[in-house]
Amino acid sequence: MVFARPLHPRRWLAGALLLAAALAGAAVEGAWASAALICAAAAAFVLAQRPRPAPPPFIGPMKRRASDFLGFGGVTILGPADLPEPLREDIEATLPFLDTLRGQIDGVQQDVAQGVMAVVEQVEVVSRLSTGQRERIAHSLSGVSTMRAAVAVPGTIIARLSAMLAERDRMIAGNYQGLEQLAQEFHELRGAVDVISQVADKAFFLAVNASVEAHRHGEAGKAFGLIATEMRALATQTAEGARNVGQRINSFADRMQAQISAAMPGRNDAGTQEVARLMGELDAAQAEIAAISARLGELIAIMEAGHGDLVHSLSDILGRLQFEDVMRQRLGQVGDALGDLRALAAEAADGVDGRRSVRDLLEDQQRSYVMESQKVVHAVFGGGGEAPADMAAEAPVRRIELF
Amino acid sequence: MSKTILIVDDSPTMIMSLRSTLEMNGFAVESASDGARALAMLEGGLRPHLIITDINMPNMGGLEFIRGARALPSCRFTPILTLTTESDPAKREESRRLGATGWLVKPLSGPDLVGVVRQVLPAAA
Repeated sequence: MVFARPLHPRRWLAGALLLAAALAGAAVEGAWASAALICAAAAAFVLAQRPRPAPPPFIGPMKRRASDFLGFGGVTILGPADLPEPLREDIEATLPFLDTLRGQIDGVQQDVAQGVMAVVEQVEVVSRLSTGQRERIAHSLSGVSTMRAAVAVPGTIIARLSAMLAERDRMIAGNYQGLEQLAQEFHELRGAVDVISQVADKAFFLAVNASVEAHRHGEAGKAFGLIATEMRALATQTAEGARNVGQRINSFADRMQAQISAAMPGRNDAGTQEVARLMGELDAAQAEIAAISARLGELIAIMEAGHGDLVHSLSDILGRLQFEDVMRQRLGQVGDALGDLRALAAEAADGVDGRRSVRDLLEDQQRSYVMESQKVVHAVFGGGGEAPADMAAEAPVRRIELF
Repeated sequence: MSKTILIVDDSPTMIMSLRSTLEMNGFAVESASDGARALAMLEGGLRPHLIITDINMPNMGGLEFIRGARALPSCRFTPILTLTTESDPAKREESRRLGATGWLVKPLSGPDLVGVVRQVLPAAA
């Protein structure tokens, strides 16, 4: 259907705003959906501002169908030379507006990218902390194992030492028995000394008797008396010597027995019992270290599991940050389309002949989408798209496909 | 020894997050910002165990990169996964025809990505 009326520039502006609304809507939901609504509202406002103007007095050869320009059907537009100046100014005024929108998109992209990078950096910090903690505990476990091994070596040495001490005790006990036997033999020597003493006593009495007999025989027994005197002196000396030796033997044997008796009761205590006590303490220490080691091992296992869970969660967070790349591409496409729209508006304001229409831009935009969600949003806001029957329910995307 | 994964993507944030995800899961990561740079790295002697590439990139896109990589004897059997926002079935089929190992769509959760990587990596070991 073709109308012979010219397209009022405000309608052109309204068309541009509607296209901007569709582009913004094709970007991410949320803020840009709001921008789309604002653009759409602005378009409605522009359309409501002025009733469709009466045809200008002159429709020149450069007129063209507005359907070529807007795609809204059948409206004829004046050539640029026919545009009243205020209306040209309106079109030109859209240029900084479109520049502003593109600038906003760039700003959003940069801010989001910086935010995402900051989040990734923090995720890496958390990951490093967890890894460091796990490594420190593993190092502690290694230290405990080393300590356990270090304690185990003296244990074996002390066991050997204990055996050596027991052997030594057995040898000492044997020596003590020998000493006791020797003391006993010393006591037996006393009997021999007593015999000597008894012999000396008898010799003394014989000498006394001989001396009496010599004296009784007078001069004839005088020489015999001298011998008897010498025998008596010798017997006296022998008896005294025997008593003296006997006393010494007794004294020595008594002292030896006393020393042996004093030494015997304690001979088994000091070495073996002390070593046994030390070994018991070492065994207890080893058992405690082994228990600590086991507990650290359990702690390591818990830490490993916790670290695995943490890495899983952090990986999930990092995966979710890929929304930024999706948004960057969608906003980038919107920004590019706004650039095309700006160029078209500039050409319209300058009266460039043979320029592309807004419909062409819209169709190019529709063809450039790489994501299903972009196509859906375009169909909702721009119309004419291949929107699924239920546009609100986006079809589930198969995200992993191995060939 | 950790296995090396080459990431090809024009988005610095994607490279950063993928690198972080893969490194904290025990992989070594190399990266390139487009297909041409990645191809140059492969021609320069890089021997990754796996390649993850975007499709839509400046200079050289993912499909052309896959074609170039498959032409290199050293990369003939290296698994190549695409990770893209692209939903065009024609491009997916083209990637399969060129020798891609799988087609992954952004956004993809980290655990899912690591799971797929571990699934395809043994073939390259």
